[in-house]
Amino acid sequence: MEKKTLVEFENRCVQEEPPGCRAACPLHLDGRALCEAAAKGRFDEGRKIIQKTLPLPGILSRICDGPCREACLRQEKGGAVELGALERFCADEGPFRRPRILVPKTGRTAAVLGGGISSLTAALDGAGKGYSVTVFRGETGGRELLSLSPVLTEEMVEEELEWMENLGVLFLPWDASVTPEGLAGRFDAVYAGLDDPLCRSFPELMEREDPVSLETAVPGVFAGGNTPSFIFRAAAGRRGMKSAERFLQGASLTSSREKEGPYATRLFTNIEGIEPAPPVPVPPKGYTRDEAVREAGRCLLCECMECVKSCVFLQKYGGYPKKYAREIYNNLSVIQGTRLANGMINSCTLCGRCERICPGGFSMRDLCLTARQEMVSQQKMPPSAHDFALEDMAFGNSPEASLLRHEPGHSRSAFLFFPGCRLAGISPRTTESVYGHLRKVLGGEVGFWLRCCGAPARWAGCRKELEKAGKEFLDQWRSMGSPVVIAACTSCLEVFRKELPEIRAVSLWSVLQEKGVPETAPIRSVPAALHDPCTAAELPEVRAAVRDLVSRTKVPAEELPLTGELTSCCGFGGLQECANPALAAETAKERCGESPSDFLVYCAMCRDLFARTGKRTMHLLDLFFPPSDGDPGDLPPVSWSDQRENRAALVRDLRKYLWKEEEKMEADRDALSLVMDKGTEKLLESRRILAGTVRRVIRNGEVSGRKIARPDGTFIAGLKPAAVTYWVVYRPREDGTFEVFSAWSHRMEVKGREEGAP
Amino acid sequence: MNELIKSFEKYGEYRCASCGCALELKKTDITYLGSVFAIELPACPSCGMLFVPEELATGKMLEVEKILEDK
Repeated sequence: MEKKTLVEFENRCVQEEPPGCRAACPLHLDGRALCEAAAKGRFDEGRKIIQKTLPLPGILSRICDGPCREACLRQEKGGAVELGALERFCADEGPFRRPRILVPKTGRTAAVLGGGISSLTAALDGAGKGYSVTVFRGETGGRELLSLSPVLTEEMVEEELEWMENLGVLFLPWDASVTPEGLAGRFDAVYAGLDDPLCRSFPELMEREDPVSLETAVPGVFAGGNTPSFIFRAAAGRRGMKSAERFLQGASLTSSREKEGPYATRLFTNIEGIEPAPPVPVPPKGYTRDEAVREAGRCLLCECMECVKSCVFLQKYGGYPKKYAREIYNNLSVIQGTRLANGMINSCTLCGRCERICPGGFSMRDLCLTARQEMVSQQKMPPSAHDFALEDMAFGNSPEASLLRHEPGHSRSAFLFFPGCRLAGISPRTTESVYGHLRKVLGGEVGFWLRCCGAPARWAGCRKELEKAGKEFLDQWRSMGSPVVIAACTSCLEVFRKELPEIRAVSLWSVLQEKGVPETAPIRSVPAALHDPCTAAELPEVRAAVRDLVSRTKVPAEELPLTGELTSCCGFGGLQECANPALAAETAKERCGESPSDFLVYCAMCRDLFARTGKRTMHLLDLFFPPSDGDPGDLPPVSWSDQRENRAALVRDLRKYLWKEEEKMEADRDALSLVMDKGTEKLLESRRILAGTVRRVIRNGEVSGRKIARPDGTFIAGLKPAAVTYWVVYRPREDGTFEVFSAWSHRMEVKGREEGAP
Repeated sequence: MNELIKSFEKYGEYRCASCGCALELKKTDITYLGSVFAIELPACPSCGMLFVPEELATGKMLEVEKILEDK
């Protein structure tokens, strides 16, 4: 990934933008951090935050006029946080312990005119830059600061002035011989604080030319701070000394200074649903400890996290998109070392909801997909991440599990019903029924096309495989006369739309909406929550058709809180279930928890993943094409093994009974019959070892005789069909079946296995 | 991984179905993504047929696979 691409991604996420208070403060005091500390009673931490940002903390923290109030989001919910009073309590509660940082002297000299807040801030900043600073002030010797507010005491002012003297700032009395022009001749740079009336007596200081640099008519002399706001006076002093620094460096006085003063933050914070609470009133003597803690507790601790709030995946890695973008960028840049973000990159469901929620349009989908493609092309994709799905895709396109035919009795197709791998695997019965119905309502020339659309390769970042599959796909489609494809699965539709725009495809749901559904007796009238699959989020017409169809059933449908374009994935999307099955289970569970009602879905994979969590879930097709017995909500989830076998069986059945091709069909090579208990079935499912693989391993052991005999009469046989080696423990039974006890696999290769292994 | 295998005395009771010999531990190299490890696996002393026990495949071997995949 190019650095430029990273920056583009990062810029979209606003989570690290400052809260409104900090952006509105001309000195950028972090009010959110201050409140967070104060709410926990950690006022020492609060003082650290203050002294890090504010010059003259003992004075400014007590008299700040709080321009942050205008930007405080609490304003709409009871009133802005009394940050000024909180700062004051921090200062009253204990001393500022400023570390004395020794700055190497630059040899430059700076003069500061005036004894007000603006001048003293400039002097402090100048000392911090290593300049020898001399302050020329009136006779009162700093006591004019006392007049700023009754809360200031002589002691407080003294402490600040002493601190400045300790830093090496020299204070000299101002006499009539001191003029800005004269100082400009004797010092390298000059700042005049216009909050001091003495400075305002020089017209050349008042004719300011540039509000950004505070440059005056006299070169090298800067002036500002003529404002009633104390904090803005200080900010002017800081700005003026920054200009002096730029002046001495010969740098531009005006460029890139937009964020020096107050600015509008890009941070978005959702305040919907926040209960209003009024501020804790500020007594004339300031807050007590308890009052300060309570008031700090009203701070909303502004942050965005909108996408994270509703995504199990984004929550999983403890951060937010901007942080993830950096981690992913670093992951892709690793030459030697551990790639810490591999798991994260491969666990995104690619549902795109974050992009639709994000005020800046950040897309984890685009980020993770780009990263996956890059990992694949660099040959850095962990083989275990998507192999299972890619192998399933290859199976879906094999002659055993794919089928392309014109309707029986027809030699051309106006339509092609494309059920997709999941519907065909999870419910071959419905697949057949829907095909029969479509032939009826569309009046003939409805062909049938079962194969994989290419979604697994797309999700896995395998562009080459996807392009190869896409070419084959187009060739097959054209060979049928380029008919309209009726897709039952929104994921297939997404692939057509994004990768194969030439394909003319419509959703099965739109066809059913227009052409009608079979008249069936109502199955049930219990309310159900309608869940949109993630790939329908960008297909409003499909969602509308589904809602229309649902209204024709007797099932009262409820909308989930996050629905339509904000719907969430069931955990299968983006191959989350393949790369991170535990997280996919959490994703499904989280979604199911959003309503106590049964779920009504229109994606076969959603049905299965929800059913696996124990949620009663009905597929919409099961309402129009109901199972002959029982409630569709009671149908069990279908294992990966069974999904494959169902697809192969569907192809065999359709060829045999619909297209009457029995004489052309090969004998079923997989006839070997297996027996295993539920526990073993579950173990194999969790290890992603398919019944078909188990059969091949046993056949290999039985045919070659290369197997291990255990004392209990069982055998262990092994086989490495491709990248993975499988081992199966089994026992041949008298009836010719094979009882399976366990199976496991590994990717490590045993060297010299060709000679040594079974 | 070796220590793990050494404790698997039970594999001594396993026999190669074609040769009839009891399995013995045999030094073998296993590889993944370019890394090679030496390990002792139960093998037939006559024909050399060997196997990877379940505990090893689903335990230590899986862990090492994951580490190597993130390298």
